Amino acid sequence: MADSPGSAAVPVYLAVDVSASMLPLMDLMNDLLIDAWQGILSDPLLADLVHLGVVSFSSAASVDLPLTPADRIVNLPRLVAGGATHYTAVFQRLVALLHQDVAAMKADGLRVYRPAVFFLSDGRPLDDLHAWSAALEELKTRSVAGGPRIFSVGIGDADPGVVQEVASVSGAALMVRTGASPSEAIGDYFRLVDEYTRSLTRSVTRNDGEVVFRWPENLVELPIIGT
Amino acid sequence: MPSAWLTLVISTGAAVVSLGSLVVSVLTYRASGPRVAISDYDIANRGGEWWLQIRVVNSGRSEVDVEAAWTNWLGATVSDLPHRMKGGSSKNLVFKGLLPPLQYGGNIITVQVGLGSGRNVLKQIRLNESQQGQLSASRIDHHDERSTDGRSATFPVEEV
Repeated sequence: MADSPGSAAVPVYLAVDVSASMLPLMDLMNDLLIDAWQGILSDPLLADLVHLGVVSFSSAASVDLPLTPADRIVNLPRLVAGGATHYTAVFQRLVALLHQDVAAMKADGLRVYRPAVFFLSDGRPLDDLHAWSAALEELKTRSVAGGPRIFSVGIGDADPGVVQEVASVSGAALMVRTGASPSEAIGDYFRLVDEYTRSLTRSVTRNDGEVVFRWPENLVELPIIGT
Repeated sequence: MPSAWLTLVISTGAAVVSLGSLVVSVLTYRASGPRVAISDYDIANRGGEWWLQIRVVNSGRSEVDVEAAWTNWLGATVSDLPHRMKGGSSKNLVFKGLLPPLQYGGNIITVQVGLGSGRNVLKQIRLNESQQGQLSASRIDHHDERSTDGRSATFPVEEV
């Protein structure tokens, strides 16, 4: 179905760490990605609003699913783990995607809501701090007017300080709580995506002006310094 | 009769040995007493609130009362005490608190468990790097006004 002029859309990018340390979790990750997509499809309003993209990263970044209206996705990618944890490439790739995707959506006459990036990482970036910090800054300030809303989720050995730095606003930096298993953490990452997109859909439908949602059980908010 | 005397001596000796063995057994049992230790722990931040759970184990054979339990920055346990621990049993105790005080700068939580016997069990729990990072973050006295109760968040719906 073609989008009607003036209809709304929200770009949602899943930016997923697929470095070698994620290898034991990849089957679960791929299964939950399918579940998340089917969850979106189960709600016609949600399926109409959400445009979904998947970017995986390790030593390099890969666009595994270009931004696509959820109800037009034919096949989901099967993510594969390997390599080291680097952030520069994924931030640069997201900058380019946001530029291109938001411009294309607007050209199609869509009203575009603030894009959401759900960033998941289980480690500390091993590439140059200045390089990835600069790329992150560009993503936050110059990729799209006002920047995307970046939810940063840290699991495993992720550094809470880095998790906070990646998040774009206070309330969007989340660490898995101590004691939660890696599989619980991955599950809650997808629950976060689900909670946010459903709440956003309700708000858009009712014209509430606010999206309100609860954090999944195993994710703990980290306040961000100085915002 | 020499044989009767011999029987009496042997019987008396056996009785003395048996009695001695019984006394030694009782003394050993009593000496073993309660043996209480903190065997395990878990600390987690749940919605901005820190939860510490410890497992107190009595590996001895005697019963003992756990009268009180306290940590240096989470205060007294919220679990029901006193609690009578049988020999070979364990009990989980939970502590809860919002934030460590600003002057708390270490990476060790000291737990003290007071027993009815008058003894105290002490354990120092060393936090790992991730837990220290979370503690540092939670000490920052700042929450964006858009964040509500720590278990939920509110963001504006905006077009770009």
